[in-house]
Amino acid sequence: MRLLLLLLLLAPVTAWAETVYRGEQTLWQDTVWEGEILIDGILTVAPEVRLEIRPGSVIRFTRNDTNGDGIGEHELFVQGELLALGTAEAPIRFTAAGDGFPGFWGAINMMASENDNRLEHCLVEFAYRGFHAHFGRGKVRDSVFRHNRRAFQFQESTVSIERCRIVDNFNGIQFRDSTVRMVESTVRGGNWGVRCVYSDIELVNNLIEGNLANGVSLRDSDLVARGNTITRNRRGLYLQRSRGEIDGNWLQGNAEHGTFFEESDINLVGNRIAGNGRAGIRWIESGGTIVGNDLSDNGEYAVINDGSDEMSIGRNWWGKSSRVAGLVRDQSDRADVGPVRWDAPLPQEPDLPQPPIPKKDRE
Amino acid sequence: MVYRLGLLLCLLLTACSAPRQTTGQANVFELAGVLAGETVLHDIVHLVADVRVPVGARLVIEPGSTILVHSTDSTKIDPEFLSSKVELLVEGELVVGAAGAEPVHVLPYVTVGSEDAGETGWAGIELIAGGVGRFNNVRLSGAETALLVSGASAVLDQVVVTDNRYGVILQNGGRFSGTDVLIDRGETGILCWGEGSLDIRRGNIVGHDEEGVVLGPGCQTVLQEVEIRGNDLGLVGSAMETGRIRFVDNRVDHLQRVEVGP
Repeated sequence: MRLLLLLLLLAPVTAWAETVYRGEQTLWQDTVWEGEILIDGILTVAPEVRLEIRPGSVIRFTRNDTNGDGIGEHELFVQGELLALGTAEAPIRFTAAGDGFPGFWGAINMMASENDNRLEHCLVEFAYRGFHAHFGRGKVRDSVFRHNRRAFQFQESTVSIERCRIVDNFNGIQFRDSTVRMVESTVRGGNWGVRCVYSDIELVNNLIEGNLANGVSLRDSDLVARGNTITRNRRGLYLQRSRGEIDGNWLQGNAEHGTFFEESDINLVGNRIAGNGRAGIRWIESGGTIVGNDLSDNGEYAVINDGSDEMSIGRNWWGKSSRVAGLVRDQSDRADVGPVRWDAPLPQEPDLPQPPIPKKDRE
Repeated sequence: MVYRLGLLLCLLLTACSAPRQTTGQANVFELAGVLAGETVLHDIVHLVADVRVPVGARLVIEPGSTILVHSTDSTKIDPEFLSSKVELLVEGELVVGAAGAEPVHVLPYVTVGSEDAGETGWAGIELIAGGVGRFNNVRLSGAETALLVSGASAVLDQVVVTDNRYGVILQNGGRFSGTDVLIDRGETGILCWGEGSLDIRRGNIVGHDEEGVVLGPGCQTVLQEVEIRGNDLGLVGSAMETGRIRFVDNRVDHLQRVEVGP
């Protein structure tokens, strides 16, 4: 009898349809959610406690804005572990209880949560911060973040993002002091696309487009970027005091500069950097290798050197014009900047196939 | 040091919604946080951290005022709104100055001889998401972007935009209507793309290191009695009727460009 009682006490609590949490509450033991959940307050998942959310569940947050700043405060605060594993047929939805707008509710917060928090096949919408972590770990797969004030924001965290769609948020992804791997995902229609400082980030086969500020922006960080399409942003890729291994990407059709490197060390190999509004490459006091790229058809210049150092460029494709000097702005145009030296142009346009577009954005 | 502690305290209070009047005689205000309702300020306004004017709120800066924007001591590396610098983000309504009155000055607060001298931590005025800005007899200077109009509208009369990196950026359907406008000295005067609308009657765009005006695809443009003078590239844009524009002493007056833009 005692054993049975003990087992009952230790067994996870399962919350069924229309479970409601009001005010400030804490889950002190493992809990499983299935069905409709209403969070009308701040719900904490205690350390070493697991919250598992079953496929098809809908988690709604009510509106509460005590200081009138337009940001909702009701949220899920995870100090333990969050497993929100939906399926393609039955995704899990985190949303507003009412007519939603960005910032209607607070966040899925993960604080000092040492276990891997996992979100798969989730839809997160109308939050202030869709995914928010400090000293956390997270794996987010096959999920959609839309209409949030910030889709992702974290620091001192390790986060993996795979096959996600991060669309129409005020800002997409911003983080600091973190390690991030993002694969086959789309970041579209925000102000900032991906922005970070003091971080290591690997971007592979992503589509980053139509963001009103920079598509990808790093400061004091390390970047590996392969096979990404970064297009129709205000600026494409901006590195400041950073290091970058950048190959096989398409950076085209950005309104200002396709790439902008400031005090950075980069290897820029085999990219298509074409059709950008102001210049393909803007370069300030940077170093590295620039070779095998397509630098054609940029609006004003292919390359601008605005630093005082010499800029050296290997063999690249500059378009059909044989007059490279007209595509470069350097010391010959402005006395206060360094020269650009370039090797003989490639004799023909390099074969730079378009990187794979994330599956759900191919149409 | 005392001031810096005060500033830090203000920054820690995330929503200092009520402007603080700091002296009894002169009207000196400190402004930071998220505003609500209508806020009317005059004389000296110290912008000591980000300010947001949300939907439904209204900020009025009366004629003759000076807005001094402080660089914060914080390591603000995640943009709270759009910039890592101090910004005035307007989703509601902003009214600065009035016709026929004393001008309003908006500029960075820099102590002569300080480490900050020569730098600016002022992002600029950002009108977004349906925000409305009306500027009359105003001088905007020292910002990263004096005026960003993104999905919002700005109406300017008798306005000088000077010594900013970017003068005006229009995007995401932003609408700019200006009369008797001078935009001078910076990297670029006006950038317009993404279905922006630019309408200037009587204006001067002068002395930019790069472009005077960049017109991207989808930018609807009316430029009447506008002089573009002394820029590196006067006008960059395509399909532009330039008969009402006077080009003077630009290295290149008019450069066509490829069709790009968000």
